[in-house]
Amino acid sequence: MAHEIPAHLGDKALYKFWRESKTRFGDMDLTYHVDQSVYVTLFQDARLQFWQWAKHDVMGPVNGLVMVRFSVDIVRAIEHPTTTRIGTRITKMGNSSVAYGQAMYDHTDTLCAISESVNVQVNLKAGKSVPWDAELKKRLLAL
Amino acid sequence: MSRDQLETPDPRDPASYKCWESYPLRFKDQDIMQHVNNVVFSRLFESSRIEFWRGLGQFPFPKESGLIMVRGAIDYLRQVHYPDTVKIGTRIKQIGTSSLRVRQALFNGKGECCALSETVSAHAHYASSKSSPIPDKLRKILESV
Repeated sequence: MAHEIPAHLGDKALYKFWRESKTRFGDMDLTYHVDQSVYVTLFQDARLQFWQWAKHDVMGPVNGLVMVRFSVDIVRAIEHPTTTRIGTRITKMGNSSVAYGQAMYDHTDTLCAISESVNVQVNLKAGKSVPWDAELKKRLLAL
Repeated sequence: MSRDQLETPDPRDPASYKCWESYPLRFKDQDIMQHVNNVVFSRLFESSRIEFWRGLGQFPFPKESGLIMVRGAIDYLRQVHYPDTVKIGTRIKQIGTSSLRVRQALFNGKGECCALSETVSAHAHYASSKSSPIPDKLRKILESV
């Protein structure tokens, strides 16, 4: 059975946070399209900027976020040069995990890719998961 | 006194550039030192040069002969940190018989000059790699910048 792209993540109205990124010449592969590995980098950058927007420090030094799952559905090839816009939101929070939905558009406002990913909050020294603070979790889910 | 301080116009002066490109930095641009890695500077300068050529109507490049980069040098003046949006100014420094020098400077969000680049390209036939004079049509375009 073919994998179905989670179309609901392509609904722009769901996203409050948007990150713009300009493609670079070195992003292109031999087909003159932005290489698929660059999508991962752009989605990562958008998630980090999402946390800055959410005013929550995920860069340590005590606790940090580690990636446990990442998927990307490429809907359309991106042609360089363009400025991509990535919408990022939290779709679910577990005891110590956080799931994201992301959608990437090019400068023509065409949907190019959708990503789903999961991070777990860990104590960086112990390497063990750390539950979310209840108040923080409530605030993040309300974003 | 460094060689750059003797250069006129001062390559660290943003007023010496007319062509500009800006790039929001990416998280992955950082290295283990938590600053933007030196290789990233090189790629940003490259991307800006391409847009410079595109602005002059010279990109995509001709298929048989054109300018081939033969030297590239970067002076790192200051660390760059994520997140930030950097601006790169690009201009022609010198036009020779078959060579071309391009000057570039990278500025951080505060407007501080963080790196200087100079590249030298030679006009050549791609297949034979033999240099040839810059064609008059291209020379006029370069002189008009």
